[in-house]
Amino acid sequence: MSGGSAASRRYSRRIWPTMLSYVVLLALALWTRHSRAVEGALRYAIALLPAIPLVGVVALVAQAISAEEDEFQRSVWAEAMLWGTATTMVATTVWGFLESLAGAPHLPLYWVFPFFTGATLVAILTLRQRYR
Amino acid sequence: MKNRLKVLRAERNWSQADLAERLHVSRQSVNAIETGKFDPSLPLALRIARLFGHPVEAIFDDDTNPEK
Repeated sequence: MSGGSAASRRYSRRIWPTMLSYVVLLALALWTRHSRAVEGALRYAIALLPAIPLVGVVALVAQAISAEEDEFQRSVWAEAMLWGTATTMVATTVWGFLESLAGAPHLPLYWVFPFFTGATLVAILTLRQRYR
Repeated sequence: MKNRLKVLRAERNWSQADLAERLHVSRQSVNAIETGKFDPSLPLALRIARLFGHPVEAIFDDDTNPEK
């Protein structure tokens, strides 16, 4: 997170394999989507596979923030996540209005998390500029 | 919150990084506190006070001190 602390090194070491396994499991789930060999409960199980590393990513970020000893850096992360949450809430709700009332194309809900991640990262970069 | 951190630091010829190292915080923290953009927690404020050998209220000023 903020620099060279043991917590941030542990985070960096674990986050990439977790992200990679998310991509691999998601690719697998998408690949079997139209297969007739995969039916019923197995289809549910495969659809849930990408959720495992996803929960892992959330847990790693939570761990890294609580292990961050610098109270100012922790407050920057908290503020960035509030901005990310607010942006995501507004954007997804507005899109819901557009879908239901104006016939905009349907967006699958799994885009909510990447959107939140992107919005939080933009907020982090903006806040770092402000507090440089 | 207004504070005298920059003056106290200059008196000792410390850079922001020097002070950060002595307080075990990031340089960004020192900058944010100095410029009044971030108020330190009570434990960190006490650490700052101890480091400079002044009471907390001699370093930080919240503009509500009735004695002034």
